[in-house]
Amino acid sequence: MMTPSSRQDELYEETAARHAPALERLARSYELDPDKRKDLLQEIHLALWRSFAGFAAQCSLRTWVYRVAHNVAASHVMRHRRLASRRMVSLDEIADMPSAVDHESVAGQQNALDRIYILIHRLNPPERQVMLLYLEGLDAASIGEVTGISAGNVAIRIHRIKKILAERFRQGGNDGR
Amino acid sequence: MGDDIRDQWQNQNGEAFRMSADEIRQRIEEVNANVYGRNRIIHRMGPIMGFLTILLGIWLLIEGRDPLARVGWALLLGSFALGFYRGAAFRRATKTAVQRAEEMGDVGSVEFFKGQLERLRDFHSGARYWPSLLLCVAGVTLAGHQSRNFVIATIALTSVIAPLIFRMTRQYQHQLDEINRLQDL
Repeated sequence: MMTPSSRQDELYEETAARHAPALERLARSYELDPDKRKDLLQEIHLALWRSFAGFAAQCSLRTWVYRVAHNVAASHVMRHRRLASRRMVSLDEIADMPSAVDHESVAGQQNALDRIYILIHRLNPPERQVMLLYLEGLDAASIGEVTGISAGNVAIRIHRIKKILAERFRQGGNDGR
Repeated sequence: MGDDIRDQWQNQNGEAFRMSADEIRQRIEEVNANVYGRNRIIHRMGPIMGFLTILLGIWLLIEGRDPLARVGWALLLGSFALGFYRGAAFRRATKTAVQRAEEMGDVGSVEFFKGQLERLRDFHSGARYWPSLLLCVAGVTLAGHQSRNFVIATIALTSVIAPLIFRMTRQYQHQLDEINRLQDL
């Protein structure tokens, strides 16, 4: 019979094999500083391993992994008190912002991915989560399962995300290639 | 356009971080040892500090000749007690992410974030915060009422700090309102 610890090891191995690159991208989306990002990533991996002791397969492993990872990352943001000190915006506000603001803030950034990261860092954590999960390829129902927002509501957010990405990257010339 | 960007996003280069199960166990032991050590210090120092504060308060209440100052010291003691209780309750509620890992997988990420915001908002403005601040300011003012400059400085400091904390609380509440809107849509 499998011991709880070996089951944790097995689930962790499976997670690392399947989701390690996505977790790396998630950490980068929450933390720009490379040293702090490494700490955050390590914290996510520790939390995941530990969380598997309570994993009863009531949701998919992927949903569980994303929930834990986003919750650890949100705790990281709270701990560093960035919420009160720096104003984060919603998708609606991002959409309403003149593109010139973005062009100023990305001066020197040629890479489309760098521009996406800058966009993500400006978003408040709940909508940042929706955008990240969309970029990771999850559909509205799966994003709803991870975040706890209704699938219909997620679909509205995705529609806005697509619109913002299309507008921003069309303006950026070849960036969207 | 959206699919192009998603492909680009998912195909980013870079080495993915991962740990071995043994490394994880070792790090968790270290984290637990750190948390245990910190809690042990807090649990040992808390009663000692509380006891010393009560002794000081009793001495000031008995020895103090000025009745207003004695009331001030009594209020200040009440404020310390309330502040300590608030801090202890907040610490209990905000365990480290690794400590809370097992419950994290069962909670939707937006709900989890909302819970954290509510705790922070309540810490800065909850039912225990304003009485604690009021007791502290009244206590300091009465305890030092013989010095006009001291009283003016206390009132000036409070009038700077209180709006800042109020503003911080409003920022948390604003974010909570946005999340509620997001969930209600």
